[in-house]
Amino acid sequence: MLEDRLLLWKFRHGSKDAFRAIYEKYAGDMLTLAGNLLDDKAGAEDIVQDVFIKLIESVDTFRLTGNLKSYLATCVANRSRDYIRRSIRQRNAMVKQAEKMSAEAKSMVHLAISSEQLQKLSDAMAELPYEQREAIALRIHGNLRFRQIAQLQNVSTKTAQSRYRYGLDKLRSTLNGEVKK
Amino acid sequence: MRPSENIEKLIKKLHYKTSAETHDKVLGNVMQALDKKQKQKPGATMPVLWRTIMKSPITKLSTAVVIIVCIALSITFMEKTVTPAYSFEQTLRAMQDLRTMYMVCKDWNGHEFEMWIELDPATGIPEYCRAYWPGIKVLNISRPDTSYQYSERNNQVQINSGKLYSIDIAPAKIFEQLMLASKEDPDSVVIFHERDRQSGKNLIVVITRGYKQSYKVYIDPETKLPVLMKGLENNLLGAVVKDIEHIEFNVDLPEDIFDFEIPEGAKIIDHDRNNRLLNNPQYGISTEGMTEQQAAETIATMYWNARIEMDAITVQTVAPLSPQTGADSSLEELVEVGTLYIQPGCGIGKLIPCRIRYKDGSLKEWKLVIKKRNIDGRPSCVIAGFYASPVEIEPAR
Repeated sequence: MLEDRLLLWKFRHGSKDAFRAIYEKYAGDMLTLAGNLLDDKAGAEDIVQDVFIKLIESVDTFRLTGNLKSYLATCVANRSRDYIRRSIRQRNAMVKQAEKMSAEAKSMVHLAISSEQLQKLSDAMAELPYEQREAIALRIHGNLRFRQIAQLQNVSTKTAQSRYRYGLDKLRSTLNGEVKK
Repeated sequence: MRPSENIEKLIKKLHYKTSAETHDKVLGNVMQALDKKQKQKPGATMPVLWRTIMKSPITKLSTAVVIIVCIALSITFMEKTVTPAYSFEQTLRAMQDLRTMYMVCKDWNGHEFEMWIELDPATGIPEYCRAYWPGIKVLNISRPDTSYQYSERNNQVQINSGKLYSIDIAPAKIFEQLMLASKEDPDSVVIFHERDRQSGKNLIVVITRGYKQSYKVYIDPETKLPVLMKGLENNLLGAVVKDIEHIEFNVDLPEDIFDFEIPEGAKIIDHDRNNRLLNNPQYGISTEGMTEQQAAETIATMYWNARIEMDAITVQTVAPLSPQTGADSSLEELVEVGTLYIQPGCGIGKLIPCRIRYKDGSLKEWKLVIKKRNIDGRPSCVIAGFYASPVEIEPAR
């Protein structure tokens, strides 16, 4: 964690290398997080780019209280929600076009996942209610604590834990059900 | 899916990867945004030094004077006929309000390292210091209570009580010494000007050749603070810093920068125990009436002969930190004991090279660290250990 603070400190003092090191360290994890939240690879890439650009813009003013990965994960989660809201608005306006775009985006996601079981899991994740999917992705890919997830979702810690647990149960039963078939 | 199968582990495998092309594109966009931001705020990229000093009320007051002096000096320098008006006192005055420093340095072995320092405002002496060598992955944390030297490669922590004096850089003290040296021997100091290619500034350059250390220091003519320092020669025991390649003053240090948590599974070497042994008069030899060289030769000869004869008691007596089972039947004879010398960076004592012939015919040079002591007014010395690995002079037959 201290290493991140030093990187941020150097970045704040003008070191491009320090920023690049932060990017190389976390961009992959953030892409995975955004990808799991959105089920849309192109959208996930846009969000990761936006989050790092935002970090550049705010580096002089923001103070890191926790760890950098959690901070970035929270930014990704917030932007993913905005992205989904925007997508829904667009979809309502142009349903057919949006469906086509969604199918294209999905096929790109599928390319990134090789195993059949993981593909099924990815599909099952996409079917989960957003709050449950978010709780799972933030916990597993963003390493956020339930307290932090609860804060982000504006619910109690217990609710965040329940969303996580229900989500996992659903994923497990979906995967088991498919195997039984 | 088996009930026992951990779905969380499976989810962890849901990785999204970009193609190298997309990665480069996104990184390019982000770096472009960074360039744009840095161009908008050119002052933010570097010298906090200048900006911080400019913020101080005293500096604001004297800015006008400084500008006039600078213009005058620049004219003088361009003509190169008049000795520039610079005195060490100016730098010492400028250093009075220093609280923190960040430096990029080079040690006497040519390794680059970074330092973060918090100074005691009353004395100008570092209170806390963090030094990190990225090339060799070594971290030193110096604090008034406990200090740590951590080698990431060996996962080994050396713990010392009190500060680590080897990384204790007090710029004000250096300038005090330079000032004293220049007063004692004005010829040992040369002052001239050199144009800095990067900034285009005319920097004041001071070369000092002292008995213990020789430096070339570049000083900002406006702030009178050093911007660069090159170590030319060093005969000071334990000194680590050779060059200071970049320096910033009064920077906000990252939180927790002087904290250290011992990594899991790290091997711990408690130097307090070692120091107690090395300072115990039971160990070592008396050096009454001997020169430093004679004392070092005597103890080195005793040590190697005891090793060759497998006399464990003598080995332990002259070198108390030697492993108890230090018997080595591969040694043939002590061929030569060299001249005692100072190795910058080795703060425990001077080194004496010893050439040893092995039974396989090879000849190797070991360097013993000789710690000089004065316990209750009685001079003595002890072998503190080896310095670095042995060097093979002649191969095995």
